[in-house]
Amino acid sequence: MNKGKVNVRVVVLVVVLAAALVAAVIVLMRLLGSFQSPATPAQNPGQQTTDAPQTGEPPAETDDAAPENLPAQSVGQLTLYYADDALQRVDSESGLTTLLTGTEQLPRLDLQRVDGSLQELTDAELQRLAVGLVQSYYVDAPATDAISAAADGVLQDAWVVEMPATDDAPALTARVRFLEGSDGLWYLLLLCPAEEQVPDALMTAYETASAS
Amino acid sequence: MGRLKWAWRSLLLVLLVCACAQPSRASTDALHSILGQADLPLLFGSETFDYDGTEIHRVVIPQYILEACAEDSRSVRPGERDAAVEEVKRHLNSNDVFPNNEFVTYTQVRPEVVDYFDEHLALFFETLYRFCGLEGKEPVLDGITYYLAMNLQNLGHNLRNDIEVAYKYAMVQNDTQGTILRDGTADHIYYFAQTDPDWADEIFEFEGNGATLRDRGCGTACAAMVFSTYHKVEITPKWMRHYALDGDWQVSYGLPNEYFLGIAQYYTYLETERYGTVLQQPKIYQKSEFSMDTLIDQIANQGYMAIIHVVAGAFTSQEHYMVLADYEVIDGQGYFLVADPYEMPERYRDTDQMRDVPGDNPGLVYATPELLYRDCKSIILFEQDRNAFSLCSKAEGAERIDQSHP
Repeated sequence: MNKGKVNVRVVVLVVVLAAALVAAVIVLMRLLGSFQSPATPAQNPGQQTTDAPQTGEPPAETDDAAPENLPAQSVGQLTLYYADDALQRVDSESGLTTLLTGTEQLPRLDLQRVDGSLQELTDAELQRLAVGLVQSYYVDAPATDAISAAADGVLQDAWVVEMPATDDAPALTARVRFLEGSDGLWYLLLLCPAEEQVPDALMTAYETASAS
Repeated sequence: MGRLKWAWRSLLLVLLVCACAQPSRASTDALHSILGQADLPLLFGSETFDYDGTEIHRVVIPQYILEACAEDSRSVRPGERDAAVEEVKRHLNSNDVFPNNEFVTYTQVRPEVVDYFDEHLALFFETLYRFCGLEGKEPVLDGITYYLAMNLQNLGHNLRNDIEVAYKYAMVQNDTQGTILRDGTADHIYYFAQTDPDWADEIFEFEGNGATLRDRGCGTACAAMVFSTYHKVEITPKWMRHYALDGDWQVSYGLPNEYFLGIAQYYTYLETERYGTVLQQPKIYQKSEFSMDTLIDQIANQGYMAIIHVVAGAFTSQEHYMVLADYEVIDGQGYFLVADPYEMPERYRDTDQMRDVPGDNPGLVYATPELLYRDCKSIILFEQDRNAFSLCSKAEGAERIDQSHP
C-alpha cells in the first residue's frame, strides 16, 4: 500500500517537474529571442558606471534653496530659477518647453513631462533613456555605441552625454536630468556645442530645477 | 524521502527563475514608451531628400527602434512565402487601417498569393527605404521592414500619400505597373479576365437572359484594365459592372461603345486628389475613320491605349472587346499586345498572325495589325500617355514613425 502511494507521488512529481522545465525553456527562449531591448551602449574607456559616486559619498541632493536674486519660474509642477530677461521661453502645443538665450537653437534647455516612472527603470536603462533622448534631435542619429554617457556625479538621476560630430552637427555635450513630480515624470535636457561654455542662466535653471 | 526533498527544491528553483524573467520585458517597454513620447525637435540632419528633382520629406526612424529591430532575426526574401508576408500584406491592404491608400492591392492578397513576397511588395519596401534614409538596402522582410510596414499608419495622411505616389512613380519608371497573377508573378500590365472566378458568375443579364460577366462582361473587364492603367489603382470588373447596371447600359451582346464614354466621364477625377491624375474623355472611331499606321504610332510612341471592338473572326464567334495595350516589333514583324479578357486562346483562329506572349497569362497574345484591322468594327481610343505620372509631395515636415501624426 505504502509503495503504491510513493509511486503515485513520484509520477506526479515527475509530471510537474517536466511542465516547469518546459515553461522555463519557453521563458529563456523569449529572453534570447526576437525584439529584445536595444543593445547596451558600448562603454568607452574611462566611462564611469552609474552604480555609485566616485568619492563614496552620497550624491548631492537637489538644492531646495532658491538662488539669490533669481525669481522662481514654473513649468508644470517644476520650479526653475532664472531672470525673466535672461532666457526666452517657448511652449509648444505638444507640451515641450524650451529655454533659449537668444534666437539661436543652441544652446538650449528642453523640458517635457512624460507618462512613466523612475521606479520602472534601472540606472542602466535611465542612462540608455538619456542617450535616446539626445539622439531624438537627429534625423539620422549616431549609433548608441558611438556615444559616451556617464553619471553626473553631483545631481541625482542625471547624466552627461557626449555626442560625436557628424556631417550635420558639431560635437555636443548634453546634460539630462529626470525629476519625478506630483504630475509625473519630467526630463530636462541641456544641449550645448562641446566647444562652448554653457551660459550661466541655462546652467542655473538646469541645476536648480526641482519638482513638487 | 531524500530524493523527494531534492525534487521539490529543484521545482521551486525553476519556478523562481521563471518569475524573475518577466520584469525585464516590462522595463524595456517602459523605456520605449518614454522615448516614444519625447517631442524634441529635429535639429540636425536634412528633413528632406531629393527624388528625381522633387524634394520630399523624410520618415525618421529613431535609433532605439533601429537597434531593437536589429535583434529581430526574421529574414524573408522576394520569391519566398512566409506567414509574416501575409500579415504585412493584409495590414497594408486593409481599408480599415488605410482607407485612403493603396499600398498592397486586391490581386496581391488573393488566397493563392497572400503569403508570397511578390515584386510589387519588394518595390514598395524599396520605396519605404528611400524615405527612411536606407536607400540601396535590398528588399527583405526583416525586423526593421516589418516595423515600418506595421507602423505606417502612424504617419500623417500627407506623408503616407507621398509614399504611395513615390511607389506608383517607381512602378511606372520601372515599367512594372500592373496586377499580380495567381502564381505570384507579375505581368507588368493591369489585366482582368471576365472569366476570373472572383466575379465570373456575377449576373450581367440583358432582358432576363441570365447572362453573367463570364458570358457578356468583356466590356467591363476592358474598362477595368484601361482605367486601372490610367488611374494607377486596381479597379476590378466588379466596379465597372456596378456602373453598367446603375446606368442600364447592357445590350444583347454586352455593352455598347458609348458605355466607355459614360464611365470615363464618371471616373474622370477618380484619383486627382491622390495622384493629380485626370482621365480624359476617350473617342470612338469607326473602322473607316482611323488608320492602323496612325494607331501604331499612337500606342507605341505616345503611350495611348485602345479598346478594340471586334466581330466574329479570329478571336470570337460573336462580338468582343479587347484592349490594345502596347505595340512591339518582334523578329521584324509588328504586333499589338492584346489583352483578351476571355481566357481561352484555344478558340483563336488565324493563329499564324499571332504570337505567344512570354509568361503564364493565357489572356495575353500578340496579334498583327492586319489581323486586328480585318476583324475590327470600331475602337475606343484613350488619347493620353498611359505612362504619364508625376512625383509630388504634400507633407510639410519629416515625421517620426514611432509617433502618431494627424
